[in-house]
Amino acid sequence: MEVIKTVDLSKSYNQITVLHSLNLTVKKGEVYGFIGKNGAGKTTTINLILSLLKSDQGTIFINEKEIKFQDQLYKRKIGYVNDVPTFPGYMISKEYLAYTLDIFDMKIGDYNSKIQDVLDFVDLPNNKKKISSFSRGMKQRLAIAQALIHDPEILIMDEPTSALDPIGRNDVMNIIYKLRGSKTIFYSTHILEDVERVCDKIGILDNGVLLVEDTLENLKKAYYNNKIYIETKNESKDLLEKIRTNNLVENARIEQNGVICNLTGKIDENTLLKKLMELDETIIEFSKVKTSLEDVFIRLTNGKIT
Amino acid sequence: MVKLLKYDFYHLRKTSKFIIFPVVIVIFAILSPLTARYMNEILEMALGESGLDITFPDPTVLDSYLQYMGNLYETIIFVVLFVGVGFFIKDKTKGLLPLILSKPINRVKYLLSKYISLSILILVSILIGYLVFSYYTYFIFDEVNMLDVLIMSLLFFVYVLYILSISLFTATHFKSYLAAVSVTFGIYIFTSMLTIIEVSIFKYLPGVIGNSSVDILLGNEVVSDVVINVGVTLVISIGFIYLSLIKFNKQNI
Repeated sequence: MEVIKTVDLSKSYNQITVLHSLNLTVKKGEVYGFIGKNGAGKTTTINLILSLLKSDQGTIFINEKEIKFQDQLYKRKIGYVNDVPTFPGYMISKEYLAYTLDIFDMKIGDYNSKIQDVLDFVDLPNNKKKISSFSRGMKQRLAIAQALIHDPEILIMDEPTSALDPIGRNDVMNIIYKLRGSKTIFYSTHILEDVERVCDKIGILDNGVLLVEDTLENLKKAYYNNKIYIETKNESKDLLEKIRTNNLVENARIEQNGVICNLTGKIDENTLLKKLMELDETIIEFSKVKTSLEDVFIRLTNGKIT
Repeated sequence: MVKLLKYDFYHLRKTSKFIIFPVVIVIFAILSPLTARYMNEILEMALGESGLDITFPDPTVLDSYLQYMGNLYETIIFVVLFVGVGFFIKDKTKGLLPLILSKPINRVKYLLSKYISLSILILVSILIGYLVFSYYTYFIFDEVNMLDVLIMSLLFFVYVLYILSISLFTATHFKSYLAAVSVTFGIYIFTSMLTIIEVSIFKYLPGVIGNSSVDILLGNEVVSDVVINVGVTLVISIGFIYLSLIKFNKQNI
């Protein structure tokens, strides 16, 4: 089931297009990492999905139903966490969560036990401390608590760790990790390490254009498994020359004491190794290079190859 | 809507606005008859050293009414204006709106709830002020026309509704508190100045409500004029509210 789907979604501010015909699909149960540089259009996309912004063109579907700007009913299925959540400072966490339950018109017997459960889940104490005295990490955990209190199907998180210190970030990532499998999570960030940790599917957005959308597994197949590092007893520049002359691989270049290159698809790593030995090379190191998501991201967004 | 009202009242209570309005109005409700009663003595003391010998007429209950009315229209209305804009714009300026409107909250109801909750708070404060003022006026002058004071208070409330509607309008159209307050103040001054101009239709504008109150107290009122004046004020207020709703409904958050 497609839980979130956008079709040709576009948005401009002051005649500058920030989102170009965005087509993305998030399926039920997925943790979708929506990544892009600052200003790529991630928050705009989320705000369009939440009807905080009005789109110029395109359609948004939630649970395969088209939503219109100002529709409210579909928001019952969504929990939202923003990057720097702000709350009424005079409230305590319990009051804010009770307010959220009220707004969602939850017909549950005992507010207190529900609130206690959610506070326990995000590891926030249920005390009389005013929100104004909360740290950023605590506010972020409260934001997650208020997003979960009505037990939504979909959790939309807009850069939930961007303003946090490493400990706060780790806490939030642990919470997201615990939620895997129980919710569909649409999660925007520019911290790629976090995405690799929790996401099943990735969409890379650059200047309002979705460059790629695929599962992490497929992206790994496409970008991770074809890079080889070769070091021989020979000088690296001679090795490079030999590799290029024999047209064995692509994008070969010197790195450290050897050569790094991409397999073309015509030959696999075993064949390459055999060919090098036939060329009288004494192999010191022959290894697959594990490319990070960051490498893929930079390659896609800047056209640079690492 | 009821839930939104509940939380707007909760906010008003928690941020001491619940206290500010009744306390300020009650202070003026107590001070106004006292000031009216002892104004002659105050002026004689002030003029004592200048050697001027002026005889002031004895204060009457009418002076108490006019004193209170002056305080309402010249002081309380500014509290309404500044607090009103702040109350309407704070969710925007403090960055609370994205989380609020990510929930299933109708924007029209959200805005109306704010307007209604603050209006109710001010109405209750005015009614408390009315009771306190009537009691103190009777206590000091041995007489009070409670019906006239009630009408005077309710006319002031109509004017409050008008000022709040301008505040709501500017709070939805501007991003900063300062800009919204400045424009609200500008509209208030402009519409007040229109009442000075001798154009027959201008006698029905919102700024004339204070004059209508004076006419009622002096027994000079033309009922139809007062009714039209109130009607025009309410229609203009509804117009400002409507424009605010239109703007807010389409607004990118």
